[in-house]
Amino acid sequence: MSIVFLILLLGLLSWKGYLAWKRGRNTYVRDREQYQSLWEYLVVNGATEREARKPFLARALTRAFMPLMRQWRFWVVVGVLVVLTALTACAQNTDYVEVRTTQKATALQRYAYKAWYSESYRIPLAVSWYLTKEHTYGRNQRKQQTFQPDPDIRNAVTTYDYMQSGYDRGHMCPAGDNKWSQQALEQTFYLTNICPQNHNLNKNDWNDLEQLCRQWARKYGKIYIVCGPVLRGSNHKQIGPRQRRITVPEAFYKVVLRLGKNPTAIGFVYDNKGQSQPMREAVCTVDEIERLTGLDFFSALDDKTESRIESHSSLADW
Amino acid sequence: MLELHNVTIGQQIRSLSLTVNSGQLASIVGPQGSGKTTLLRAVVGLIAVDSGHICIDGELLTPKSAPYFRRQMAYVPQHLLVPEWYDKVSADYLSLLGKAIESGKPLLIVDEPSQPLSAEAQQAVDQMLRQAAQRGAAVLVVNPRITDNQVRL
Repeated sequence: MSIVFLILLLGLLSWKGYLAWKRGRNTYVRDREQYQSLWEYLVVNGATEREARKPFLARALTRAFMPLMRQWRFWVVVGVLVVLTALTACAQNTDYVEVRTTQKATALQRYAYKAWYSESYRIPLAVSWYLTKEHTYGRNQRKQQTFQPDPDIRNAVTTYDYMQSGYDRGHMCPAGDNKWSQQALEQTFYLTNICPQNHNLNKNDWNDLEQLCRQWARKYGKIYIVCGPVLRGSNHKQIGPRQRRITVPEAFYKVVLRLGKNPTAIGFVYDNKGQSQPMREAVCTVDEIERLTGLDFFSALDDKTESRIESHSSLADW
Repeated sequence: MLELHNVTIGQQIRSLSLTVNSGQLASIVGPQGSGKTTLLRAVVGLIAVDSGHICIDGELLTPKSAPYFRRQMAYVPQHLLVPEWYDKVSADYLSLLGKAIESGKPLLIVDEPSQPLSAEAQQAVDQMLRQAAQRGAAVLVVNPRITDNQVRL
């Protein structure tokens, strides 16, 4: 919508500008012809050509733009178009990491990621962030970090709730994507960014995928990532103390979007189990993941692009 | 100061040579259409000569180099049409001449006015021109009343 107003504005300005230019040029040509003797007088009596041209140019500019100054209706229209362009441009949603949830979830805005945390499951339903080439490099070390209860959540999960459960504290937004900033790195250790994850999956297939995403970020400059748990059925395994039961997801999804000339998306689903799962078989479309989770990804894209890229997923495109 | 050697312009001016030294007042006379104004326009570099050359202080004047020479020239045209939106110059012949002489430039090129002047104005003009020459300027003028150094076209 904003582009329409912008085109109208530019069209109006260029039309009026063209008319003004024509008016000014005609004035200049006519004056130079009519007052050639003045030009010669100025030039011969020590003025440079530039200086001699000055009064003619000043006159032409006045004749070109003064009528425009008096057209108050024109300026009102320009003002309205500018305001409309600005308003529609601001209103346009360009938040590609926005996730729409149908279930009840608390939206958490962190420095480097967003999370939609379910207080009933005590795990995030979705965690989203963008990853740039620059963000894949950094000197901050994850070794010094410890898992922290989220300060914004009441009765927050603690690192002790995972002890003896047999599950890893699996990062959704990985620490490895946030070494560029100490604050960003620390916040990935909030337990609202963590799901119970099978140790082998965490160490192998899921880690491979995270590294692949970093490769893609270096290749394409900037990518958008959303990941989280897949909860199949209504009965789920739970871990943790009685007052803070944590749901163990049956699987994990990850969707990746790149924009640019040819926007492309890809999705992955890994079962939360120790057996190796080839990446080729984990690939699935974003539409499928939306069906599995009830979430809506990349709604900021225009509908045509969104439906095109979410219905197709192939490693060959990356 | 100003030298013309075998200058030919169009049909009117054929192989004309003349010299105007500093402090000298030279006058060009001739019937209407004999090329007086054309000659003056060539001297200030507004038009090119067909053959021969014009020198100022021994240096060749060309239409391209004219801007450098014009720094030491003052020119009073035959007629000047000044638009109502330009107020830095007056179209009056006498005030233009006054301005040219006041500028103190060493070479004055003065055309005759297109409208005949009153007798007093004519006297004033002649006097101003003579004074300018006395002060050391080289003055080339189109004026039939000045007979000291007359060049007839």
